[in-house]
Amino acid sequence: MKNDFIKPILVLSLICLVISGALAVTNNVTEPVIASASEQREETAKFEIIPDAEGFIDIDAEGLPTTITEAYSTTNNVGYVFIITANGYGGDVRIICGIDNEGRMIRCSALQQSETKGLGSRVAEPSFQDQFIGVDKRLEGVEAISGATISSSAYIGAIRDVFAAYELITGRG
Amino acid sequence: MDFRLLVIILMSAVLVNNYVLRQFLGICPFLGVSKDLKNATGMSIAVIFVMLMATAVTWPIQVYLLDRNNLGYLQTIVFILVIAALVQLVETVLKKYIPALYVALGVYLPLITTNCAVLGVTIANFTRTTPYNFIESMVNALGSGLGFFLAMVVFSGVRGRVESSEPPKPFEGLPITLISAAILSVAFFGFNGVIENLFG
Amino acid sequence: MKRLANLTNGIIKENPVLVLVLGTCPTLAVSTQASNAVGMGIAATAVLLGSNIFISLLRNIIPDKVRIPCYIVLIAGFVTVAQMIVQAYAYSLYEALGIYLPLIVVNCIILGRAEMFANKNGVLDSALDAIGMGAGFTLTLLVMASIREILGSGTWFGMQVPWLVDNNVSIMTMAPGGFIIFGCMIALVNKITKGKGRGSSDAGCEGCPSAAACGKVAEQEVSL
Repeated sequence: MKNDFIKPILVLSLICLVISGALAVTNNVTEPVIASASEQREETAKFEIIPDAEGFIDIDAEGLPTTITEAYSTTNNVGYVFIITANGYGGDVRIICGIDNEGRMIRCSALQQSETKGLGSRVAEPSFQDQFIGVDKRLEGVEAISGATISSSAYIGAIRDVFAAYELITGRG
Repeated sequence: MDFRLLVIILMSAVLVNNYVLRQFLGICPFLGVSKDLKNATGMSIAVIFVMLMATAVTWPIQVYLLDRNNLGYLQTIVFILVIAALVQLVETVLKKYIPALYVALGVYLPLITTNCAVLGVTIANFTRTTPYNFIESMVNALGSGLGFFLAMVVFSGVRGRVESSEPPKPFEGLPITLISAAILSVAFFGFNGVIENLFG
Repeated sequence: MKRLANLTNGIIKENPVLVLVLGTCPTLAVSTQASNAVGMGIAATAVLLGSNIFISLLRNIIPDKVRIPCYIVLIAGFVTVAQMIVQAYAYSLYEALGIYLPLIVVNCIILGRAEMFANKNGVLDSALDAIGMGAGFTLTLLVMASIREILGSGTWFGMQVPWLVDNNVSIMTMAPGGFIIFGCMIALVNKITKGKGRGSSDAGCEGCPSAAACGKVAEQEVSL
């Protein structure tokens, strides 16, 4: 009788242990690959935003808006790159954008987003993103997407934060 | 606490990102248990209940146990075990202390362990770049459960009519049910602008 | 000969998606693009192969009482490994599959095959069954995704299809399109098999092999 009770628990615990161990081993192998691949992707994304850049330097400034997750200046001084997370309602959007030394937007694009397909996801499409090219902090001519105002307003708000961060870092208005 | 954000999370989970009709989670019970209103309601209430419980338990586990010890990769395995154990526990407790509720919900509980909507909601709370905090997660779970409830109840009404119809022979049974689910899913497109118009 | 049947059963006669009506959630969700469908199919097949082999190996060791939790742990383990590998080596697929990748755990095909086949049969047969079922799942996903991608986006594996590119029916890639195409495919199978598939009956939980895993559902549903 006793065996009937102990054996199942023993087997189940043993399986759990073995599986966890196997997962730990796999994780050790794949974790560095995942990390380096993710770094590689961000690096490529940064160069896509500012193709003229030779390299990027991490900026660690105080008081940046909380939405800014990363900020970089360029080694050859052609502009700045910011990575921001904007909150939509279906999920959040990570945006990368570059600003040149005159305070104008070079380009911005969504790194990844989980917005509702076909609706909020339109913020990742060129028709929306391209309107930011060349604008300065006044964001003249930028319009939200009708029917997806929350997602696009979140995006536009994030872009405002980028300009705020730019001013803070460069000290220019 | 941003109350407006919570309402947006709730509404979008119920209407816009409806788990069943938009994200295809929980299709099996949606097709299997939606035949009459009573079963549909019982199943949905059990799902809401388990979703809330599962979120309440998995959120602290993920944040305080897994993330702190760099064990994020155990998420799937831990979550599914927690849900299975939780369902078992709820069943036992209900049976013993609230027999009336057990009679109403008990049948559906074992089905829920393998319901992807429940595991889905617990994982979805953490898939965002900025994961939901505890309250947001609970609201998201409630919304997802209510969305499931809404889809089930509405669809059980639709099915009543579909059952009495006479489709072409090969379409009888499941195919015609799926086609009517498609039409219901189109109907839910109508909710797309709701949140934008209310809170935009 | 019987061995061969184990392999081919899953592809046509017992096609997990269209005849047994299992794994509907991922079928509907990831069949928007052919490449995602193939990725999902391969990932699920790998998990199924791993779980079937191990469950078959351990079938005399695992006590009957805790077999379901044991299966779930094993399956979840394989799913997590698959998740890590996809994230490390196929990141775009990882992003495209999103939450449906970890949800392979609750894909009823896998638990269903464990319960219906692997715990009663030898390792080789279980492996063949897994490959057959996996192939059936992958093929069905591919066909469905091809239809949806070609009609909905005017592309196939990302290649543009002339004319359809400019005249796509985008609802096909959205949720309703999934339900419609799936319904039509099951109707077609019904037509061919003359109603022998389970698809012709109602998709009640009674028919789901996980129902056994769910405990007493089968008998309780009757008593309702």
